[in-house]
Amino acid sequence: MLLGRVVGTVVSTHKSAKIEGLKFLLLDMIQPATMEGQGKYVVAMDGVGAGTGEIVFYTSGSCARYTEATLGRPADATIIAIVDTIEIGGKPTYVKNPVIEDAK
Amino acid sequence: MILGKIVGTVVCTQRADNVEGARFMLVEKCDQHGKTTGEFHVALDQVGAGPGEMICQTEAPTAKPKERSINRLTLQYSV
Repeated sequence: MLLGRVVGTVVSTHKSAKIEGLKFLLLDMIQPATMEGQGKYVVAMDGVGAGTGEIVFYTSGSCARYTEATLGRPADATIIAIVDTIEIGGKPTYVKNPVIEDAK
Repeated sequence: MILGKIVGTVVCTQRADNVEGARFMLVEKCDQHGKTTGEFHVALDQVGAGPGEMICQTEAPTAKPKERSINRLTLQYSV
């Protein structure tokens, strides 16, 4: 699975009937140590309801067709999780909602 | 399978992976000498690996720990 930031949406009206009703999001691959975008983009189907700006990870290849949203559909990349925190060497490099974390 | 080193953890509550109690680790690829390459992956941990450990991970489609799971990379062994 690879980490990416949702940077936008992709809309298509003329498409295979098998992928109707699915949301497509544009992801920019990120470097988890710096959280900076790498300028490598991928269009992924959304299996969790992710929004712009969120850090997610997606599964690719044949595994992308195993979510409830994409079962039996021609999916090659599917977002399967919205990331709350990323920790490297004990130090958080990304916290989705720092206000809640501070309150703890 | 590919070699990697555990560098951290990834926590997420909103998921669609059909795996209960999943634990995700941040893995940096490395060569046989343990030299890291700067390529990062998120992997489902099935062995209880910890930070700094060198691991082998499987890639899709053999990475499926259960039927209908969707994990591309699954830790199989820790060294």
